[in-house]
Amino acid sequence: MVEFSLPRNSQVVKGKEHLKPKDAKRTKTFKIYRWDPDKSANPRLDTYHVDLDKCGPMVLDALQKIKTEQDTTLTYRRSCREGVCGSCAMNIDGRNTLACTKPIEDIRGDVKIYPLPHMPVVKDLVPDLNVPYAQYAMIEPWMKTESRMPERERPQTPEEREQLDGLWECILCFCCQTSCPSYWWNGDRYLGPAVLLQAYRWIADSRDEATGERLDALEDPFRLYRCHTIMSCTKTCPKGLNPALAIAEIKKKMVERTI
Amino acid sequence: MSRSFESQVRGLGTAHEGLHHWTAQRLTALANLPLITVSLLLLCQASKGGYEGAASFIGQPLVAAWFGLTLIVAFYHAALGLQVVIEDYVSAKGSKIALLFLVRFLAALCAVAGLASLISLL
Repeated sequence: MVEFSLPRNSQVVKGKEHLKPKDAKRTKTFKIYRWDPDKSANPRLDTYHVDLDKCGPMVLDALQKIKTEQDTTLTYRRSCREGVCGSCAMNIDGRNTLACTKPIEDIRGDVKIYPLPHMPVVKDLVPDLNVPYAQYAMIEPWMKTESRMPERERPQTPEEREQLDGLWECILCFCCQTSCPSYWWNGDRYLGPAVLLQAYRWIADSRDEATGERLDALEDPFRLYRCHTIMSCTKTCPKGLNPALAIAEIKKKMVERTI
Repeated sequence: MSRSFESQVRGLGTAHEGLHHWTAQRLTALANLPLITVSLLLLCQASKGGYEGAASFIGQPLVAAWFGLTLIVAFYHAALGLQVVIEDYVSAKGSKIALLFLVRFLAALCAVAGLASLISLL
């Protein structure tokens, strides 16, 4: 649903400014979205100053440093710290990306950090991803076969395997999903770029035997055709993938089976 | 909300349509390129001889057929496009159905009015 105005109590207000570290020669200012579900206060933007000479190179390093040394209540998800798990997806400097692979030095001026856009917030930088997870489960992301189970693995030629390149690398961080205006407006019915890229990953797999069934499940004005090729998904993907292309390939398959 | 997330995202299931709308929108967009370009050139030509000249120029069967086809394709394309805008931005069911009906009715009305005008020039 389109929302042109913020719901009540969601206006972000100026928050607390933490002291600058003493004797620091090179500091960077971080402005971070804070919201606590246990308090009835509006969300706020807290300011922290980080000594870059005593901090790792990535935004996640700065967040860890802030949480360890300045404010233990700061809440965010993180795990692998090397762009593989997708946990630390957040909106940094106006773009959805992974905090662990975003270098601090790439950001000019203050570093503004918000949770992934247009999702309910659990706390601070943690978005509620239950809906995209349920959408992902709905596309049945596993190999489905009718033929008899072979004695060994199901073979694939190198060319068939190549069809999965640019698809299997998706780590489900949902940066693309939450950058898509169509998903903002109709996220309850539109599957979104991440889930559609995953759907195409199985449609494109030569070993899968449920292509028609998968296309049937997507043929819907909202599930698939809300994609208007805005391309925000492709622009923001921290893994350099192209969900818009994957969606276009699904649409081509839909046409292909009618002619 | 009592419904599970799985139930919410599955909703009423797939509608098994959308492909026809999507292909029609793209094909009419492509068709509009030559149709509207040539129509504009024909209008320039028609405007040279005053009202009488224009009426007799447009009244030629092939010219009238070209304009007729342009009207049908252009208004069909407009209705398809506006349908997408309404589906995107209007979530209240009643308003959505009313607007979708209104858009189709107005597009059909405009196209038929245009065709009637053309026929009157024949």
